[in-house]
Amino acid sequence: MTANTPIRAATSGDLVNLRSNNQAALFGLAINKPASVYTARVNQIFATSDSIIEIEYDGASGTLANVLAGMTLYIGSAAGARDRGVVRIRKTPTVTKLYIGAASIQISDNDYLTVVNEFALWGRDAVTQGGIVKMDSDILFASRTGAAIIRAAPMVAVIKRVAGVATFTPPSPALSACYDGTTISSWAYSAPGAASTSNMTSGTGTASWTYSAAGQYRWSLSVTDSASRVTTTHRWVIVDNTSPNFAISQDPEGNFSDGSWSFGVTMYDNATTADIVDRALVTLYTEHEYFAGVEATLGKLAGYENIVCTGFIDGESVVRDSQNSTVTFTIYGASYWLDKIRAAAFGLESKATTPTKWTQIEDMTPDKALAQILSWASTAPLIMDCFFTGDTTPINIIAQPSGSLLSQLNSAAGNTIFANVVTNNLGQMYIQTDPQIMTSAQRAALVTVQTITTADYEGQLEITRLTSPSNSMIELECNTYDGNKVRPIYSRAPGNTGLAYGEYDAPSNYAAVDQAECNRLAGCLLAIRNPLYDTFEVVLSQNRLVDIAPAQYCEISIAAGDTPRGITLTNQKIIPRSVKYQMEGGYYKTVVEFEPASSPVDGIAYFPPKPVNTNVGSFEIGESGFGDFPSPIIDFPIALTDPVVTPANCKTSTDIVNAPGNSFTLTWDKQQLLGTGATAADRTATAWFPCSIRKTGCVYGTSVYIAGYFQGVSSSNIHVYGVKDGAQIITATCAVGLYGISATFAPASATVVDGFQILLDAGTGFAPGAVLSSGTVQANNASGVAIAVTSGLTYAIDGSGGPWKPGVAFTQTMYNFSINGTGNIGRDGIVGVFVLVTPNDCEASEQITTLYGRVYFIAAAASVIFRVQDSDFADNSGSLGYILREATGTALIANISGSNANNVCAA
Amino acid sequence: MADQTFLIAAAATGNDPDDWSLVSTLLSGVSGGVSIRTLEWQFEPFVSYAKLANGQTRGLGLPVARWTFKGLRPEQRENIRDFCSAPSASVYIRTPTNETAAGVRTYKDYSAIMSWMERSELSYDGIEYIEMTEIVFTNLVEVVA
Repeated sequence: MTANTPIRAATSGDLVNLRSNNQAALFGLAINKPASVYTARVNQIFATSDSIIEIEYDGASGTLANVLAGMTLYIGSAAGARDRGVVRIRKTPTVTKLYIGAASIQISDNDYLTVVNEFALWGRDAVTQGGIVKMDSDILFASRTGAAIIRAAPMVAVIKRVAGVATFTPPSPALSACYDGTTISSWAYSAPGAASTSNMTSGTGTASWTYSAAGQYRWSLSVTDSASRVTTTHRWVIVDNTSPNFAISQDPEGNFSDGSWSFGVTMYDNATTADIVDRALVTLYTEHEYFAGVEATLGKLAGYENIVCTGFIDGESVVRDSQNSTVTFTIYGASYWLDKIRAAAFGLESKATTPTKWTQIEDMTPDKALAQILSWASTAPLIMDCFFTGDTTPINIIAQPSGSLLSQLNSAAGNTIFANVVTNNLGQMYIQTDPQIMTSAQRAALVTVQTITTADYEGQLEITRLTSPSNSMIELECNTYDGNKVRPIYSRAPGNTGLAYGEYDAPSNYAAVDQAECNRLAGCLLAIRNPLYDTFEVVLSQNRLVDIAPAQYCEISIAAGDTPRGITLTNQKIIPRSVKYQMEGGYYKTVVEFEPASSPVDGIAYFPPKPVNTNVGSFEIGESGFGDFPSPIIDFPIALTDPVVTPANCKTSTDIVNAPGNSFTLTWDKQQLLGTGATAADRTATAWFPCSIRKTGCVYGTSVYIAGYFQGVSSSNIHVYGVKDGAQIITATCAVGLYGISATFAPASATVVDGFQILLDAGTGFAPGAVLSSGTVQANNASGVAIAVTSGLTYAIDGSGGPWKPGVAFTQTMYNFSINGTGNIGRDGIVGVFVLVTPNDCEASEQITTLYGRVYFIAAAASVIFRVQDSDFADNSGSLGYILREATGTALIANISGSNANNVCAA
Repeated sequence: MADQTFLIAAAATGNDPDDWSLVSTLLSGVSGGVSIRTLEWQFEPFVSYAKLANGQTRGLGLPVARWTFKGLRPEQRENIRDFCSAPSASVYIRTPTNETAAGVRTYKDYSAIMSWMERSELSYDGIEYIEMTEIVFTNLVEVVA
């Protein structure tokens, strides 16, 4: 089957056609006129017109099984009328009741009900009753129906019979997907009205069917997922369409900024409100198209080559004239309509385990969130293809205020991963990352539709060269989420010194998997803000290969000798930002506005400054540096004079022991250490801070606290030293906590140092991955639970659930656990501290919340034992949970965002 | 090469020129009628032209043919009008092109959209003929046997 990917590179044969004379096109207009499938009368007296969600009926005519969820229901005071209202059938009806999308309308007993064969783009309302959230009026979370995102085909195909038979072959549905942990098991087509069918179920070959009569036919694709849920989507085939008389009043145009296509037509007859219903689905297509005077098609998706633009009517301008009355309709694509769908405020949060309510998504990513929003807040997946970003960045929380569905989608996708909603001319929706934001690998994978030469475009090419940047510096703040913790990370592009001209900008709250990604994004943003060339317009011949979606390139070259300025563009990738089919007499031109692809340079890691805190006991991270911007980069000169340390006179043993607590900011010569650093010097940061480290037994012991973001770092692979005359003379004991590393010194006697050093080991650490399983162990279970693993693979186990109590005499709650009988991970309620004693069998451990810890291990057997950490199990009570995750080795990274030396004396 | 004759047929007739009508026949048999020699023609290979960035020219749109009858008796007009009773109709025609081969005019067969004059027709009291009847054939697509 043909892949459902409406994009391809122009072939040599295509180029011959595109550069030929005698290109021409004749257009047709296919207007869906929904046929009645079921009629009835209202059999109910409504006490209120508010929020009606079901209607009792009688006097029915038709086949009830033909009434499908998503169809349109007319409610009127006369047969076939819709003066009371137009609503959506929201689920399968019973023999006495129709279920509709919530509507506040006046309905009277014996009103006429007409279900028509139409599937429109509707919003679906969530309601809260007694604190319980229900989707689409009555769908409980536990009973939710299928929600596969089916990519079946563009919305409408217009085909002709040959020798009395029209054959339709849909593209492959293989790009369909589930986003809730299930997978697609099978699919089946149905094609009511078809004369013959073949291979209508998955696994039987290429599906196709035929029609022997002209008409408008719906076809459906039902997908069954691995949870046995069935999701259905509907599309249209129009056979031997009879086009009305019309003129194109507004050229078809797709614009990236609007995210949609639109066009206008003027009609003179056959346009009554019965002929063309409000919001009718309309398709502009080519009846005949010619290249070199010969009829041919040049399209991007087999079966849909002749489609020019598809959308729904909104707005009409009626002209009453004594001789020639007309009506002009404007037809808009899906993005326009999504902007008209109301959407309530929502919040989605990531959850490490199976969700228990609508607001939770297991291991949330942008695509999982988009699938949830589109499936349950609209009928878009029911009627059209919805393609997502493919971005797998973990996201902790997405929340949006009420507004339109489009604004929510664009905010949810755009404000996290720079993606937005764009619909192509076939009516397929793409929520896609902007090509200017894509990684180099993603850019390299984009299709270059056409290399545009001077033989392809008309007239002149006017290119505006932009010589002054509009943004001097981008300071980007992203959140990185590892499944448990959200940490802010920052990057500056081009670096700590901005470009000569332009403003500062500090976008925030985006998502990135790590610092490197944040750096890359900052570089992309700076490149977008400071393009070398403005967008420019190219007038091509009849070309419908180029579109605003999916993301794609064209290519163009300009030689130095072509312009007096000597501008050179060699195989420059250019991104179509708007495409217009400019109608002329008997032919059309394709006018494309291109944006040159940027060549971004990654930004650098940036660590927001902290105010100098003296004599404070703790240090918090997470504050943005924006308020101080750009003060941190002019923290100069650094430590040209000795820091003033108080108390200064704790020289005697007694003084030192009883010296008061204090805290001083340390300034490190590096703010990022990478495990990939080639030498120890590359992986060492030094803070010059002459002082005396207090001896063991002082009221306040000396420690260094290092706040920041640490990837794969555990207490075993990072080291903190006191240094004197360039030598590491004393070593601290490091504890890696939630927000930083606490390095504690315990010398036998006061030790004078010149400052401190941090050394990160070479190599890799560990990062948690997807959840594999979870469970619970009773606290009195000395044997623990055996967790099946595969020998040789790397895993993580998180503590969860609980707490448990160690014996009846103890009231303190415990959260700590052990693996295979060793280790002590979690909060020990008796001692009142968090402990991280890495088990013998494990490679590393880390704290993930104030209560729970995590261990990483490489399985040496087929199972590991998880149990509470205790030596006497019999009298324990309660339980403790575990979460088994995949884990991966990851480059060690220590990003230092702030640091304090605590409880030192003057040197 | 097609015969050097003007032919015309309704679309429903089909694309076989053998089934098409000779324009000369449509104009004959009318007392005092004008002859085929009074039929002037034009052939435009393109609707318009685009100057390309490489300096060359691209011809846009399909060819257009124009037949201008300098004078038609009512019966002759009726015979022509039979092929286009509405403002326009789909037809087949054989018409001369601008090209010659060994000095001989090249005629070609096309499917086309025949459009009747949009302007008012010129006729004179007492002299039953219509002056300067111009028929425009657009969207010419060559019919290859």
